Amino acid sequence: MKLPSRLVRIKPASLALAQVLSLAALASGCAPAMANAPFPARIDTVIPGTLVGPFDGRVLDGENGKPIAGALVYASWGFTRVDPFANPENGEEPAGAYELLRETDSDGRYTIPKLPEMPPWSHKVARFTLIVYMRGYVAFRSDRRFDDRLPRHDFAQRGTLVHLDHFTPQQSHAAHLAFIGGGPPLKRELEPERVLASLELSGEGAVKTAPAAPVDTQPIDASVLLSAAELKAVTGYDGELKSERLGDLPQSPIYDSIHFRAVDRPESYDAAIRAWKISQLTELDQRFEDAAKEIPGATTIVGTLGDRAVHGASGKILAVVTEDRARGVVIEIQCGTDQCRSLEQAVAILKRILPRTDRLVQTAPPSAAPSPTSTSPTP
Amino acid sequence: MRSFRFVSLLLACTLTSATAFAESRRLSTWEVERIARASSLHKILQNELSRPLGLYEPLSLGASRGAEDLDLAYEISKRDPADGTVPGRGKQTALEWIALGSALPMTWELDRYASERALAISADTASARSGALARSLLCAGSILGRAKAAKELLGTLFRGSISVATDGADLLINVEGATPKDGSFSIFTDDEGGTRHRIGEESFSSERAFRFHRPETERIAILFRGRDADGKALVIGREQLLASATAAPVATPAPSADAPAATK
Repeated sequence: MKLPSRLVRIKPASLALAQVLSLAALASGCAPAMANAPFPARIDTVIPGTLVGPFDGRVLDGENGKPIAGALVYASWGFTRVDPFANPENGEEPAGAYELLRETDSDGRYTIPKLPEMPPWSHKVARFTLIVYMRGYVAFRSDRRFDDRLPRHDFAQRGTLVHLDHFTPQQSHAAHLAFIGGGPPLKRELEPERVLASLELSGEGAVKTAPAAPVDTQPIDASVLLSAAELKAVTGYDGELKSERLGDLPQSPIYDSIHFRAVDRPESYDAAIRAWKISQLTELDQRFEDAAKEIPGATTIVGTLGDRAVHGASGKILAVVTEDRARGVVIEIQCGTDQCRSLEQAVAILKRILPRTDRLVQTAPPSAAPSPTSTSPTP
Repeated sequence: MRSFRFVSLLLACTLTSATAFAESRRLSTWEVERIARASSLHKILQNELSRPLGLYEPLSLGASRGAEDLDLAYEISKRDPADGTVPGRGKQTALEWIALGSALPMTWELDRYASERALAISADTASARSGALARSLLCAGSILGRAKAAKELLGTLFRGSISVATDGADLLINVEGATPKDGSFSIFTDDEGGTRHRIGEESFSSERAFRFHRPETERIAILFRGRDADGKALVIGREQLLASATAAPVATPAPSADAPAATK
């Protein structure tokens, strides 16, 4: 069939335009398309940034403005591919991602390089997400806020000041984990958060709904159990340890904690002690069993540690929990493998701690009285 | 006439789009996660399926199942991991498997969910059971993501529990929190090498509990598989530690999956 001549005739101007467009495509190296960045190039400008980067900024403590070293900075570039048949809603379907994980330096600074591997030309760089996580703080996401999940507007490609707020006992670890997200490299570092979230969903961290402790009881003080200097003496660690409470549960008449945070080191150098002092033996037993249940691969320790004890490990964290019924305590130690080099070290620390549990202030009435767990936050 | 044709065409396009939108509407992974966290699933995983961290228990897909896993791996590889549902080396938490199931384009149905959930109890190796549990949660997420009443549906998927009581040297096993129409119980135990073996089976009777002579093992696994009065698949599993033969075994009936959410 012969086509009508008017349909195949091409005007010289159109031909020239087509040639120009072809040359432009070649000159671009068939680079993939890119969505508009939802953030500016710098925080003090309205000029849009670019999704491919590079990115830099500084991570600071939201309370005192001091730089946070060793915070994890996770970056992910999400790609899409135009396929109106696969996804009729907007014609684009997910087509993979590139992710990397960095840490802030001693001055709290992070640098994320320009997207190291561009996707194929048929793809589009559709999204960039930056996540900053430091244990004990509320994580930062470049796309949304934790409190209300609304879009964030204070992230920029360069020079972002990421202020991390301390994680408070009133906040939910489960909601926090759901907020953080992130890929496998980041998720591997969130193991302690998952344990805390699990405890919370089990009702052991229901601090928001539990009634407040009675005013005539005093909280126990776990700081009498072990000092940072003693821990260093046992483990031989020569770095700086900062002592603070774990952010999981509030100090109460039956519970307290100490977190020895290794300054400028990953959490595999950290150690933490959780102490419960409960006068009712049945509740004390239950507390031990619950704590033992949370230890991955819990194995009984046969020996002289309390009345019973189990140990386990998850990744680079060792855990040992013991119950001493005569003293009315359950003590758990979680210790990174770069701090406690062996199970024996963790057990040695617990053996050192147990006699000191008598110094924990216990204001609950004798065992015949109602359990303090009925009137105070249940760890 | 021409304008009438145009209006008809426009109307047809509008209706088609509306239908397509309704069919493609899915719950976000965030909504599915939130519903799962508010349910009793966390405690079911802890108390009945021996997963101490509950929804935060890491589960691995285990050995590849061939072409099916290639499709799954391909779909996962397309996802942006920033959303938190991309597993590392086939492993992530129970909650993340549910969320991932709601986000993938696959449409797993109830029967597939039921068969994976049964396998999560009956498979002979621990890794196969972990993989089947992960897959059952993927299926659950897929079903939830497409559901109009996801919260109620989650309660339905995990409805019922198995109670274990003792009567002398026997165990009395029954279903609680659900009303099976028919089905059967299977009892399993693990040998020293960790391989699971079926050691007993009996058809369900609404008249009496399943009486089974107490085995000389520390742990048994029980599977009920059947259908409820509506003909829907009903699968319930339970891993049960048995106290020493001289002491009375722990026989507290597990909480019902239909019970109100115990979480905050």
